[in-house]
Amino acid sequence: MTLTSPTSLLIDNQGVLDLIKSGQINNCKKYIDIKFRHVYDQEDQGMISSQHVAMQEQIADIMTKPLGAEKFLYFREIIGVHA
Amino acid sequence: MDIKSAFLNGDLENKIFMRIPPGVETKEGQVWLLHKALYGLKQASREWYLKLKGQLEELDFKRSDADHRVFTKIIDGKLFVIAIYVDNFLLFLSNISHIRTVKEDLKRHFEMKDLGEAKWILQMKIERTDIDNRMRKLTISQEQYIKTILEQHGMADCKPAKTPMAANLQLPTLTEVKIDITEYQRYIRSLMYLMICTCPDIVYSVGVLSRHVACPGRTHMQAVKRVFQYLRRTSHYGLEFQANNSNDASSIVYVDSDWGGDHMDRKSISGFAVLLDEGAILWGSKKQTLVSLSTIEAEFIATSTAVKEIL
Repeated sequence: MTLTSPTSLLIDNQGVLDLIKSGQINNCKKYIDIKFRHVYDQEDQGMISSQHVAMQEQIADIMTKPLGAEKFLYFREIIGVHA
Repeated sequence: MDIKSAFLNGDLENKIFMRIPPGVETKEGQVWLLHKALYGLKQASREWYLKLKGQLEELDFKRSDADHRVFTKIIDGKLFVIAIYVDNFLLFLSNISHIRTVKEDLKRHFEMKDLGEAKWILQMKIERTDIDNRMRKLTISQEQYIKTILEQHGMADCKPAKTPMAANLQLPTLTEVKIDITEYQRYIRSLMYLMICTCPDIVYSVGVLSRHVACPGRTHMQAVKRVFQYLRRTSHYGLEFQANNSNDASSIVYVDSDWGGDHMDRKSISGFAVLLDEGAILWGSKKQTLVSLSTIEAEFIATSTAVKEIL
C-alpha cells in the first residue's frame, strides 16, 4: 500500500486555512511565525493538503473537549471504535 | 512467531564470570566464564537485539529509522514487514508463500515456535472478519485488559456510563492533596495503556485527568471513576480497520483546538486524529504551553503539532 496523494489536513477554521494557502502573515509573534512557516512549507512542498471541514464533522473535537453524548457517539463511530 | 529462550542466543561482548551454582561439584575458588548471554544479565536484552538485528540484516532486511523494532524488505515488489517485541515477531505480507520462506529462513537461525495467525499481542486481541469477498475487516480490542482493571479497582459491577466525561466539566487545580494520591495514580496508570493502544475515545479524559496526578481532589477521583464506568459499557468495543483491495491508501488528519478551554489558566488544548482508510492510526491531545490570544493562534499551534507528528 502506498500513499499517492498528499495527506489531507482538515481544519474547521477558515482564517487559518486562508493563511496556509496564501502564505501571507503579518505582525505576528516569532513563535507563531515559525510554526506558520513550517506548516506553509509542507503545504508548498505537497506533503499536506489543507482543506476545510465543517465544525459538525470535526472529529478532532473528541480530543479537545468533553462532548455531550450525541456528538461523542457520532465522532467515536467515525474514528473507527465499534462494538 | 515466538522464539524459545531468546536471551540465550545473545553473544557477549564483554567477559563475564559467574559463581558456580550450588549442586555442581568443583574445586574451591573456581568460576565460570560465560560464552552466551543468560537471563538476568544486564546486557542480555541488548545482546539479544544485536544478534537478531545482525541475522535479519543478513537476510536483507532493513531496519526502519523511525522505529528500531520494525524491519522491512521488498520481495517481488511487495513490502514485507517484521515487527518485533522482545522475542515475539509479527510478520506482515500479502503473499502467504513468502511468509513461509521467511519463516524457514528464521528457523534456521533460531529455535522458534510458530503460533500461526496472530491473535494476541501485548494484551490486544486481533480479530479478522471477512464481510464479503472484497471487504475484509480487522479489529483490535482490549476487552480482557479492561475487565482485569475494572476488577482490580473494584469496579466490575459499576454503573455503566455513556461518555467518559461529563460535558463541560471543569476540574479545579488544587494546591493540597485531598485524597489517597497513590490510588489515584494507580487508576490513571491502568488507563494510559488503553488510551495509547485501542481507545482513542478516552484520550481527552485521560489527558486532562493525568494533569492532576500530583494533586488530585475528590472531584478528580469521581471523574476517573466515570471513565471506568464508560469502559464498563464499552469494554467489548475495538478499533476497526477495513482493507480495500486497491494499492492506494488515503490518509486524513483532523486538527482542532478548544480556544482557552481551561477556565483556570485559559490555555488551549490541541487535538488531532490521523485516519488511514477510515481507521484511526494515530491520535493525540495535548495542552498548549502558552496562552493563545486568538482562535487562529490556537488552531495554528494545533496544526503545527499535528504536522510535526505525521511527517
